Amino acid sequence: MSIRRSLLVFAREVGAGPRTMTALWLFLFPLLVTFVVRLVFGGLIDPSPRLGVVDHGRSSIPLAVQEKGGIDLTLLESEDALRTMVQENNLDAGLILPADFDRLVRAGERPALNFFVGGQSLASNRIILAVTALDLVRAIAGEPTPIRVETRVVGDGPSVPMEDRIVPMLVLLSVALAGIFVPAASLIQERVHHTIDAVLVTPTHVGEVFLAKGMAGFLMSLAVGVLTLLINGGFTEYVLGNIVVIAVGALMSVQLGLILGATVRDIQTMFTVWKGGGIVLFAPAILFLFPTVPRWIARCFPTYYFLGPLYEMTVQAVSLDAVALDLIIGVGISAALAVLAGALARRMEMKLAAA
Amino acid sequence: MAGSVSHLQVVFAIFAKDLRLYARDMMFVFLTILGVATFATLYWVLPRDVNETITLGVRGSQIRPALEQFAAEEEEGLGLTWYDSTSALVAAVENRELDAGIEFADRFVEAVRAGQLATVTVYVRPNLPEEVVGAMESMVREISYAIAGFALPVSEPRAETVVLGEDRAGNQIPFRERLRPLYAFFILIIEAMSLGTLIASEVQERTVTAILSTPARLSDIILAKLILGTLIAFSEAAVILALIRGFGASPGIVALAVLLGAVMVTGVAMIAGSAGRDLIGTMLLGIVFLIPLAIPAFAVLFPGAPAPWVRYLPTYGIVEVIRSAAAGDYGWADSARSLLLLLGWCLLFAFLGVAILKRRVETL
Repeated sequence: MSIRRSLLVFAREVGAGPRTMTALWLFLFPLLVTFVVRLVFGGLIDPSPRLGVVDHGRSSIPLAVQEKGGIDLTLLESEDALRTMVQENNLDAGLILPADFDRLVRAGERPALNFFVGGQSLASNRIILAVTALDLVRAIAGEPTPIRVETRVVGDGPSVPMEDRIVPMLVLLSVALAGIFVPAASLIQERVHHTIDAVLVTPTHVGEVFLAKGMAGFLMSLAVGVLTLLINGGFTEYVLGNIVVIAVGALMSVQLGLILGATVRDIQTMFTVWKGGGIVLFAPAILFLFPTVPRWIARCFPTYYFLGPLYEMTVQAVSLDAVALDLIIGVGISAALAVLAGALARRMEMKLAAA
Repeated sequence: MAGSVSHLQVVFAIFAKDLRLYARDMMFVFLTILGVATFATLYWVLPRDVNETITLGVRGSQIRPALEQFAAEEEEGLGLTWYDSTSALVAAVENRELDAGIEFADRFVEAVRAGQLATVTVYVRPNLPEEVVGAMESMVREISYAIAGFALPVSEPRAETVVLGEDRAGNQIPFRERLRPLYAFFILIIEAMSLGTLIASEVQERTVTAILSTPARLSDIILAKLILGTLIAFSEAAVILALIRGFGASPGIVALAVLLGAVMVTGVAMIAGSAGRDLIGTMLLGIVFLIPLAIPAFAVLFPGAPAPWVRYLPTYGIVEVIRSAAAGDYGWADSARSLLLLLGWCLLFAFLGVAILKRRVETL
């Protein structure tokens, strides 16, 4: 194994790679997916209660709802539009406030509470919006609160919103796409077009070609992983630790890419394997979306040992030390995969020599 | 001999050749079966009900009648469990058996009625949404106002005017039902991408020019591809829909929508297969198409009517038909608009796919 020869092949890979559509796509992909996830699918699993308000005067209620947080507030001009939105389940509930609502409440004149809910709204959301609305009206009335409410959080685990839980999945998607596709597709194309045969006429060994393609894939994977974490605001104060975790993910993905590139017949089969085997890669990321699922299930999948540390570092803001054990297991899995990739490289070299 | 071969026979021969190519790829066959089985399993293991209840534990026997009356008014929204000790209540919240627990002091009612400032403790689990925490605090305050004798500062609306539209409380559409169009869409688009790569490989390896040296015409090849792509995409989507009860009460309408969808995605496959410079380019181009085509299937996962622009996307018709058929009482007249829109998109993509593939082959 010559590092110099590997670097020469690597330089060729790097020189040719960025001009391809693949490279462009791999860098665009995180941006596109982030856009889609954040703007279109962000509130899919944990939707907040949605309240629409038509305020004919200057009631303090809309501002108080905004300050309370946790409720999606929509201000509308027309009562008909509000009723339509509630009926079509674009809002959970609607509240119409007459021009002098606050004054009437303060004067004790008990104005009508024009509050209604959509038939398709969740019963839990109806309760939340109804009691919140009543509480805010009580506040306007200025009645003395007869009790003091103390709220205590009990049990383990921090509060993690869905949009944060989804970040590791986006990073995995980017890292795996680049780390697996770049070396696998490159190897397969060289085999299909027999350019690897030409390389072997020189003193270069297949193992060195593998190393070079692995390095190119690793750099690409690391770069798009960092980019994805950056645009999703996932970096914590442990920036270097975050990058180390992504590097482990890139390393694992590259080994999988090399193994795939050495074993499948053509690009079409590679995509077919990706289509079917993707669930094994992405299972831990999907499981992270559901905090109540026991963690041991995610631990059964190899990508957990990069995703778990990434999740804990980006979402729970722990330091690298706290995730070191899982990360070491991740490196161990990558090393085992590297041994397998090396064996496949030797087998390929023997096959090519025999041919 | 060659002169006696009809174009129909040629088309069938090319179709049979492509079908054999698919069938010989054991990996493709295995993973297709695996994909269909995975979607079907996922459908059946997902919850069949929607959890719309806030589970609440309460310690404080004095407050029981007032809270039970409140819970009864809210029907499905509030599930109450009563506890005798604080430790049992806290343990239940810690173990996530409850969303929240409320502890009222032993002489809470007397204290409130006497105008003394009583303390109520609300225990919440760590990731309980802030709006639920806020609602629990508000609810406790409201109960204490009632006990203290403060009337509501507003007059309540009449019960019959409060709920707009069909009241589905306790009878919500479960998430697994809303996922049905997505499964069908994914099967369609994945098969389109497989066909796209097959077309791309035939174009790049110039197999297609070899076939053209036989009595086969370019139109025969394209027609064979169109039939093959449509048949594979349609049959797989039909199988998955049958397994997840996706045909609903209107199997004919759903089958027609899926057939039109299969033709449409075959057109997409032809565009991607012809326009991609290499196989990876084909796949990536396929993904570029996939993103806008996926939006309607995802949009129906959200509560509410999709945005108006979503209704004009090519796959909206399939999604709308599958969704509506599941709800029942969905006839041809109801589905006419969706089917016509789908037909329009289907013709457009099929025309573009054929034209682009034809042009690509002619330039070889």
